[in-house]
Amino acid sequence: MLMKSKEVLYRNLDRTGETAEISSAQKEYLQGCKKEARVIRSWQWIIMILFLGFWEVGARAGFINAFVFSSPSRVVATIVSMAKDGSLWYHTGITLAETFFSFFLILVFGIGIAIMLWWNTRLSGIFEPYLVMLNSLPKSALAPVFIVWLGANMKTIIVAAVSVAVFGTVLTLYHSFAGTEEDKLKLITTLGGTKKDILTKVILPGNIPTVISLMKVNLGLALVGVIIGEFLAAKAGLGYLIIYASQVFKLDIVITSIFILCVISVLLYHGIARLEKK
Amino acid sequence: MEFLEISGLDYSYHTKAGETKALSGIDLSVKKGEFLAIVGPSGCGKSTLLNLIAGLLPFREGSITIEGTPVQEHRDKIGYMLQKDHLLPWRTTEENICLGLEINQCKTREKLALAEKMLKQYGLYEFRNVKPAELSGGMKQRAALIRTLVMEPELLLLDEPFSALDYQTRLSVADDITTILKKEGKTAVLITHDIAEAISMSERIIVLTKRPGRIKKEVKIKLTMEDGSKPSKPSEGRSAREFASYYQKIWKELMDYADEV
Repeated sequence: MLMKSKEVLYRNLDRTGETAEISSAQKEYLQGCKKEARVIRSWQWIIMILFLGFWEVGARAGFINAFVFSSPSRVVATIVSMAKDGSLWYHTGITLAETFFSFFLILVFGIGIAIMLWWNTRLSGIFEPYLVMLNSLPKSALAPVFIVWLGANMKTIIVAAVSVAVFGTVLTLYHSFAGTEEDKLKLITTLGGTKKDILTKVILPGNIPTVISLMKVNLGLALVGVIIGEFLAAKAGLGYLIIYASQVFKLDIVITSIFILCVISVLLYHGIARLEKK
Repeated sequence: MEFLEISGLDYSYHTKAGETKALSGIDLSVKKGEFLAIVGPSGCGKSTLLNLIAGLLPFREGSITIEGTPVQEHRDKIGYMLQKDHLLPWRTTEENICLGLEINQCKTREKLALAEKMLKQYGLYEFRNVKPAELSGGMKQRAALIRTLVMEPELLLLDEPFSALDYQTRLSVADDITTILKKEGKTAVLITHDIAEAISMSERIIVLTKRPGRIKKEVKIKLTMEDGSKPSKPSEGRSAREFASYYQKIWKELMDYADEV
């Protein structure tokens, strides 16, 4: 019986997986992988050290204008002094809070509207061209309008950030929902399920990978939206700090703020990547 | 009164390009516990017929009844097996099998015990906590069958359930499934384009014409082995004495239509 033998094979596979001895060729292969990873990591460090070193030395030797370009040591000094007077935490905290809140709204609206469009095909037929238009509209063009409508406050910043990402999220999710295999829907129907069962048993769990990859993109986009908003309508936050400091020619603060933004985006990305592994 | 009765059934598709007549004047009845196969050229509307029996499509002309009442009232008595297993990849074998129970909110202790019994019986118990990606093709198809059977349907509709499997797996799954259905005493309607499969599995074969599908021929199948016994499973039936002549007969019916095209 073929079936039986296949099962035995599977069981054996399991067993060998647990107690297997690694052959020398396999060892060599694994070592090769490790070595390659080390080389890549080394180059990443080398590039960073060269870049920072050149910047610092150049600023000290005078062929880079430290007043305009700042320097690594000045950035560190700025971070230390800002950390001491608390402004570092204040501005970073505001920007992060706005980013997370916008990100949350983008997800809620994105998933909610995508479900509504999937549920009612007439609705999606009506709204699709509007969504496509809103999605391709450069949202930074809207930010000044939001200030006039909503005032120079946090509302404007949140709305700007949500507008950057929400339309793309809706469109991507809706198309992913609508692209679910026809037979999967039929399966639920033949098991006696309704449209609600299709949504909760197939559509939503099946689109978790799509949602997570959208989260990755959206966290970055929310940050972009928040900084655009802060440029125009804020009294606090890293975006505000960049605009304010550049106007008074405190380039140390500008570069420091940009550096902090770099750190934030890396940390946020890794946060989602960790979520994805689960 | 027969278990399943279809009479005067007509069905047309509507698309923007126009109306397509898929089925015309289908009269058919199936006894309780019988295994019926329907064969026909591709596009003859056999899948449509199955969808109609399953109560998935509304129709205007004719009637389909189970034990005398319209089929729409018996949706819970009908199990349907699709061409592919469609196990949900994020659920374990056991969770996949319980999908129908969850949907119908009948995950009772008895039903769970039945699921466990079937898992053991059909060699999947050890694999109940793994995801479908780790199962072989045959195991997946058996899991899909258990998912259907655990709902305890009285009528099982099989829509080319083996066509996605490789040939050897196909033969052994056909054996498994036929044995399971016989043992559980289920009535079954199988749709296939594989004549050998139809002969070896079923007790009666309906040949449909090309579109619009009409019943062209009905063939009762009775297989006997060399020693005069009945074949115990479909793969044995393939070497029965009458197999070749049935094959020729049905092949000829199907070819008549190929010539006309």
